[in-house]
Amino acid sequence: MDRREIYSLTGSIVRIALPDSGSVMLFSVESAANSMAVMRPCSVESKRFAASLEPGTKLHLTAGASDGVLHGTLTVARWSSAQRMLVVDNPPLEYTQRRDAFRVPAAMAVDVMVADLDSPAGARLVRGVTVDLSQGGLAFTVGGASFDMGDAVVLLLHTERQPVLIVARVLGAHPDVRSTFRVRFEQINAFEQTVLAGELRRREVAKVSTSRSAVAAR
Amino acid sequence: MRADDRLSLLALAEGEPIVRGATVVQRDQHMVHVAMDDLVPLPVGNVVALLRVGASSSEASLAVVSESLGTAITALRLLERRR
Repeated sequence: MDRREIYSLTGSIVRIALPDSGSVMLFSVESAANSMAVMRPCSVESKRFAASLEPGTKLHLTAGASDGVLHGTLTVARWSSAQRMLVVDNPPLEYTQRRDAFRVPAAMAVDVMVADLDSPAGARLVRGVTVDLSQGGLAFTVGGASFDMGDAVVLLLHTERQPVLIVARVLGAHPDVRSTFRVRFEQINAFEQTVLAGELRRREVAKVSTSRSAVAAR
Repeated sequence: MRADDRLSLLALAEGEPIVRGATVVQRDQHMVHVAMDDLVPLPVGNVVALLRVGASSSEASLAVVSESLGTAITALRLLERRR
Protein backbone atom coordinates (compact mmCIF):
# COMPACT_ATOMS: atom_id res chain seq x y z
CA MET A 1 0.00 0.00 0.00
CA ASP A 2 1.36 3.40 -1.00
CA ARG A 3 1.46 5.98 1.80
CA ARG A 4 1.25 9.75 1.56
CA GLU A 5 1.29 12.66 3.98
CA ILE A 6 -1.57 14.97 4.91
CA TYR A 7 0.85 17.75 3.99
CA SER A 8 0.33 16.83 0.32
CA LEU A 9 -3.32 17.90 0.73
CA THR A 10 -2.58 21.42 1.98
CA GLY A 11 -5.13 23.75 0.45
CA SER A 12 -7.35 20.86 -0.67
CA ILE A 13 -10.86 19.98 0.42
CA VAL A 14 -11.14 16.71 2.31
CA ARG A 15 -14.10 14.70 3.57
CA ILE A 16 -14.30 14.02 7.28
CA ALA A 17 -16.76 11.66 8.94
CA LEU A 18 -17.21 9.83 12.18
CA PRO A 19 -16.65 6.10 11.72
CA ASP A 20 -19.92 4.34 10.87
CA SER A 21 -21.62 7.66 10.23
CA GLY A 22 -23.32 8.48 6.94
CA SER A 23 -22.85 12.25 7.15
CA VAL A 24 -19.70 13.65 5.64
CA MET A 25 -18.32 17.11 6.45
CA LEU A 26 -16.01 19.12 4.25
CA PHE A 27 -12.83 20.69 5.59
CA SER A 28 -9.84 22.31 3.94
CA VAL A 29 -6.35 21.32 5.04
CA GLU A 30 -4.68 24.41 6.47
CA SER A 31 -1.33 22.89 7.38
CA ALA A 32 0.33 19.69 8.51
CA ALA A 33 3.71 19.30 10.18
CA ASN A 34 5.31 17.01 12.74
CA SER A 35 2.55 15.48 14.85
CA MET A 36 -0.17 18.03 14.10
CA ALA A 37 -2.49 18.88 11.24
CA VAL A 38 -4.94 21.76 11.10
CA MET A 39 -8.27 21.66 9.28
CA ARG A 40 -10.65 24.53 8.61
CA PRO A 41 -14.40 23.81 8.29
CA CYS A 42 -15.88 24.67 4.90
CA SER A 43 -19.43 25.34 6.08
CA VAL A 44 -21.50 26.28 9.10
CA GLU A 45 -22.49 22.62 9.37
CA SER A 46 -18.85 21.50 9.34
CA LYS A 47 -18.01 24.13 11.97
CA ARG A 48 -20.85 22.91 14.21
CA PHE A 49 -19.63 19.34 13.73
CA ALA A 50 -16.04 20.28 14.60
CA ALA A 51 -17.14 22.20 17.71
CA SER A 52 -18.97 19.12 18.99
CA LEU A 53 -15.92 16.83 18.82
CA GLU A 54 -14.22 15.74 22.01
CA PRO A 55 -10.42 15.38 22.14
CA GLY A 56 -9.49 11.79 21.29
CA THR A 57 -12.43 11.28 18.90
CA LYS A 58 -11.53 9.19 15.87
CA LEU A 59 -12.41 10.57 12.44
CA HIS A 60 -12.23 9.07 9.02
CA LEU A 61 -10.65 11.19 6.27
CA THR A 62 -10.94 10.64 2.53
CA ALA A 63 -9.66 12.84 -0.26
CA GLY A 64 -9.74 12.41 -4.00
CA ALA A 65 -6.49 12.47 -5.96
CA SER A 66 -6.30 12.61 -9.75
CA ASP A 67 -5.67 8.88 -9.95
CA GLY A 68 -7.01 7.47 -6.72
CA VAL A 69 -8.20 8.05 -3.18
CA LEU A 70 -6.33 8.94 0.01
CA HIS A 71 -7.80 7.80 3.28
CA GLY A 72 -6.84 7.55 6.91
CA THR A 73 -7.97 7.75 10.52
CA LEU A 74 -7.40 10.98 12.43
CA THR A 75 -7.56 11.67 16.16
CA VAL A 76 -8.98 14.99 17.36
CA ALA A 77 -6.58 17.05 19.50
CA ARG A 78 -8.84 20.08 20.01
CA TRP A 79 -11.23 22.54 18.41
CA SER A 80 -10.18 26.16 18.49
CA SER A 81 -13.34 28.25 18.25
CA ALA A 82 -11.42 31.53 18.20
CA GLN A 83 -9.42 30.48 15.16
CA ARG A 84 -12.14 28.24 13.63
CA MET A 85 -9.61 25.42 13.36
CA LEU A 86 -9.78 21.74 14.11
CA VAL A 87 -6.45 20.40 15.30
CA VAL A 88 -5.84 16.71 14.70
CA ASP A 89 -2.86 14.35 14.66
CA ASN A 90 -0.83 13.85 11.48
CA PRO A 91 -0.84 10.17 10.54
CA PRO A 92 0.32 8.87 7.15
CA LEU A 93 -2.56 8.35 4.71
CA GLU A 94 -3.09 5.28 2.60
CA TYR A 95 -3.41 5.70 -1.10
CA THR A 96 -5.62 3.45 -3.19
CA GLN A 97 -5.48 3.52 -6.95
CA ARG A 98 -8.94 3.50 -8.42
CA ARG A 99 -8.12 2.34 -11.90
CA ASP A 100 -5.33 0.72 -13.88
CA ALA A 101 -5.14 3.42 -16.51
CA PHE A 102 -5.04 7.20 -16.36
CA ARG A 103 -8.28 8.89 -17.41
CA VAL A 104 -8.40 11.88 -19.75
CA PRO A 105 -11.42 14.17 -20.26
CA ALA A 106 -12.37 13.79 -23.93
CA ALA A 107 -15.46 14.66 -25.99
CA MET A 108 -15.24 12.26 -28.93
CA ALA A 109 -17.99 10.83 -31.10
CA VAL A 110 -18.85 7.26 -30.24
CA ASP A 111 -21.42 5.01 -31.89
CA VAL A 112 -23.12 2.62 -29.53
CA MET A 113 -24.75 -0.54 -30.90
CA VAL A 114 -28.15 -0.98 -29.27
CA ALA A 115 -30.70 -3.74 -29.72
CA ASP A 116 -33.59 -2.78 -32.00
CA LEU A 117 -36.18 -5.48 -32.64
CA ASP A 118 -37.83 -3.36 -35.36
CA SER A 119 -34.63 -3.32 -37.37
CA PRO A 120 -33.96 -6.25 -39.72
CA ALA A 121 -30.42 -6.36 -38.36
CA GLY A 122 -31.72 -6.59 -34.78
CA ALA A 123 -29.63 -3.59 -33.74
CA ARG A 124 -28.78 -0.04 -34.73
CA LEU A 125 -26.13 2.51 -33.96
CA VAL A 126 -26.85 5.45 -31.69
CA ARG A 127 -24.47 8.39 -31.70
CA GLY A 128 -23.11 9.43 -28.35
CA VAL A 129 -20.18 11.43 -27.07
CA THR A 130 -17.46 10.46 -24.62
CA VAL A 131 -16.98 12.26 -21.32
CA ASP A 132 -13.62 10.76 -20.48
CA LEU A 133 -11.37 8.05 -21.76
CA SER A 134 -8.54 5.80 -20.64
CA GLN A 135 -6.74 2.73 -21.92
CA GLY A 136 -9.11 0.60 -19.90
CA GLY A 137 -12.50 2.22 -20.33
CA LEU A 138 -14.54 5.33 -20.93
CA ALA A 139 -17.71 7.16 -20.00
CA PHE A 140 -20.16 8.19 -22.69
CA THR A 141 -23.37 10.19 -22.86
CA VAL A 142 -26.10 8.95 -25.16
CA GLY A 143 -29.75 9.86 -25.60
CA GLY A 144 -32.50 7.37 -26.32
CA ALA A 145 -30.74 4.35 -24.86
CA SER A 146 -30.21 2.96 -21.41
CA PHE A 147 -27.91 0.30 -20.07
CA ASP A 148 -27.80 -1.77 -16.93
CA MET A 149 -24.73 -2.72 -14.96
CA GLY A 150 -23.15 -5.80 -16.51
CA ASP A 151 -24.57 -5.27 -20.00
CA ALA A 152 -22.20 -6.04 -22.86
CA VAL A 153 -21.94 -3.16 -25.31
CA VAL A 154 -20.29 -2.65 -28.67
CA LEU A 155 -18.73 0.76 -29.26
CA LEU A 156 -17.28 2.37 -32.33
CA LEU A 157 -15.02 5.14 -31.07
CA HIS A 158 -14.16 7.79 -33.64
CA THR A 159 -10.55 8.72 -32.92
CA GLU A 160 -8.77 11.31 -35.01
CA ARG A 161 -6.88 8.58 -36.85
CA GLN A 162 -9.57 5.93 -37.43
CA PRO A 163 -12.67 4.36 -35.89
CA VAL A 164 -11.88 1.83 -33.17
CA LEU A 165 -14.15 -1.12 -32.44
CA ILE A 166 -14.48 -2.01 -28.76
CA VAL A 167 -16.46 -4.55 -26.78
CA ALA A 168 -17.06 -3.28 -23.27
CA ARG A 169 -18.97 -4.06 -20.10
CA VAL A 170 -21.23 -1.47 -18.42
CA LEU A 171 -20.04 -0.59 -14.91
CA GLY A 172 -23.04 1.61 -14.20
CA ALA A 173 -24.54 5.02 -14.70
CA HIS A 174 -22.22 7.97 -14.18
CA PRO A 175 -22.94 9.47 -10.74
CA ASP A 176 -22.63 13.09 -11.85
CA VAL A 177 -23.66 13.27 -15.51
CA ARG A 178 -27.14 12.49 -16.81
CA SER A 179 -27.66 9.76 -19.47
CA THR A 180 -24.02 8.84 -19.06
CA PHE A 181 -22.61 5.37 -18.57
CA ARG A 182 -19.20 4.09 -17.55
CA VAL A 183 -17.79 1.04 -19.27
CA ARG A 184 -14.70 -1.13 -18.94
CA PHE A 185 -13.08 -2.41 -22.13
CA GLU A 186 -13.15 -6.17 -22.57
CA GLN A 187 -11.95 -6.52 -26.13
CA ILE A 188 -10.01 -4.28 -28.44
CA ASN A 189 -7.70 -5.47 -31.14
CA ALA A 190 -3.97 -4.99 -30.59
CA PHE A 191 -3.45 -2.48 -33.40
CA GLU A 192 -6.47 -0.41 -32.39
CA GLN A 193 -5.15 -0.42 -28.81
CA THR A 194 -2.10 1.44 -30.10
CA VAL A 195 -4.39 3.86 -31.98
CA LEU A 196 -6.22 4.51 -28.72
CA ALA A 197 -2.93 4.96 -26.85
CA GLY A 198 -1.85 7.52 -29.46
CA GLU A 199 -5.12 9.40 -29.09
CA LEU A 200 -4.74 9.50 -25.31
CA ARG A 201 -1.14 10.70 -25.60
CA ARG A 202 -2.17 13.42 -28.06
CA ARG A 203 -4.88 14.67 -25.71
CA GLU A 204 -2.58 14.57 -22.70
CA VAL A 205 0.05 16.61 -24.55
CA ALA A 206 -2.62 19.09 -25.69
CA LYS A 207 -3.84 19.45 -22.11
CA VAL A 208 -0.32 20.12 -20.80
CA SER A 209 0.35 22.63 -23.62
CA THR A 210 -2.91 24.43 -22.85
CA SER A 211 -2.04 24.60 -19.15
CA ARG A 212 1.41 26.01 -19.95
CA SER A 213 -0.11 28.59 -22.32
CA ALA A 214 -2.57 29.65 -19.63
CA VAL A 215 0.24 30.04 -17.09
CA ALA A 216 2.38 31.97 -19.59
CA ALA A 217 -0.53 34.30 -20.37
CA ARG A 218 -0.90 35.34 -16.71
CA MET B 1 -23.21 -17.78 -29.09
CA ARG B 2 -24.49 -21.11 -30.33
CA ALA B 3 -25.75 -22.53 -33.60
CA ASP B 4 -28.98 -20.87 -34.75
CA ASP B 5 -28.48 -17.83 -32.49
CA ARG B 6 -29.39 -14.55 -34.14
CA LEU B 7 -26.66 -11.93 -34.07
CA SER B 8 -26.16 -8.34 -35.08
CA LEU B 9 -22.85 -7.70 -36.76
CA LEU B 10 -21.09 -4.33 -36.89
CA ALA B 11 -18.40 -3.93 -39.51
CA LEU B 12 -16.63 -1.13 -41.29
CA ALA B 13 -17.15 -1.10 -45.04
CA GLU B 14 -14.87 1.43 -46.72
CA GLY B 15 -14.63 3.30 -43.45
CA GLU B 16 -18.38 3.48 -42.90
CA PRO B 17 -20.07 1.47 -40.15
CA ILE B 18 -22.71 -1.03 -41.22
CA VAL B 19 -24.97 -3.17 -39.06
CA ARG B 20 -26.31 -6.43 -40.44
CA GLY B 21 -28.21 -9.41 -39.13
CA ALA B 22 -26.65 -12.85 -39.17
CA THR B 23 -27.31 -16.36 -37.92
CA VAL B 24 -24.74 -18.60 -36.26
CA VAL B 25 -24.23 -21.69 -38.42
CA GLN B 26 -21.47 -23.35 -36.46
CA ARG B 27 -19.47 -22.49 -33.39
CA ASP B 28 -16.38 -23.95 -31.81
CA GLN B 29 -13.97 -22.62 -29.20
CA HIS B 30 -12.24 -19.99 -31.33
CA MET B 31 -14.31 -19.79 -34.52
CA VAL B 32 -17.84 -18.92 -35.40
CA HIS B 33 -19.37 -19.39 -38.84
CA VAL B 34 -22.22 -17.03 -39.62
CA ALA B 35 -24.71 -16.76 -42.43
CA MET B 36 -25.24 -13.09 -43.24
CA ASP B 37 -28.77 -11.85 -43.98
CA ASP B 38 -27.35 -9.70 -46.77
CA LEU B 39 -24.31 -10.27 -48.87
CA VAL B 40 -21.74 -7.88 -47.50
CA PRO B 41 -18.14 -8.03 -48.66
CA LEU B 42 -16.10 -8.47 -45.50
CA PRO B 43 -12.41 -8.43 -46.34
CA VAL B 44 -10.31 -11.13 -44.70
CA GLY B 45 -8.44 -9.66 -41.73
CA ASN B 46 -11.07 -7.03 -40.93
CA VAL B 47 -12.31 -6.78 -37.35
CA VAL B 48 -16.06 -7.01 -36.77
CA ALA B 49 -18.19 -6.88 -33.63
CA LEU B 50 -20.92 -9.40 -32.85
CA LEU B 51 -23.79 -8.66 -30.49
CA ARG B 52 -26.36 -11.15 -29.29
CA VAL B 53 -29.12 -9.71 -27.17
CA GLY B 54 -30.98 -12.28 -25.10
CA ALA B 55 -34.04 -11.92 -22.91
CA SER B 56 -32.01 -11.43 -19.77
CA SER B 57 -28.46 -10.77 -20.91
CA SER B 58 -26.40 -9.56 -23.81
CA GLU B 59 -23.23 -11.05 -25.20
CA ALA B 60 -20.71 -9.34 -27.44
CA SER B 61 -17.42 -10.25 -28.99
CA LEU B 62 -14.89 -8.96 -31.48
CA ALA B 63 -13.84 -11.29 -34.28
CA VAL B 64 -11.52 -11.22 -37.25
CA VAL B 65 -12.82 -12.22 -40.66
CA SER B 66 -11.00 -15.45 -41.38
CA GLU B 67 -12.47 -16.52 -44.71
CA SER B 68 -15.62 -16.49 -46.78
CA LEU B 69 -17.05 -19.92 -47.48
CA GLY B 70 -19.21 -19.86 -50.58
CA THR B 71 -21.31 -16.75 -50.99
CA ALA B 72 -23.06 -16.31 -47.67
CA ILE B 73 -21.11 -18.02 -44.90
CA THR B 74 -18.34 -16.09 -43.24
CA ALA B 75 -15.83 -17.64 -40.87
CA LEU B 76 -14.86 -15.41 -37.95
CA ARG B 77 -12.02 -15.99 -35.51
CA LEU B 78 -13.03 -14.74 -32.06
CA LEU B 79 -10.57 -12.41 -30.37
CA GLU B 80 -9.33 -13.15 -26.89
CA ARG B 81 -10.74 -11.19 -24.03
CA ARG B 82 -8.71 -9.02 -21.68
CA ARG B 83 -7.97 -10.56 -18.33
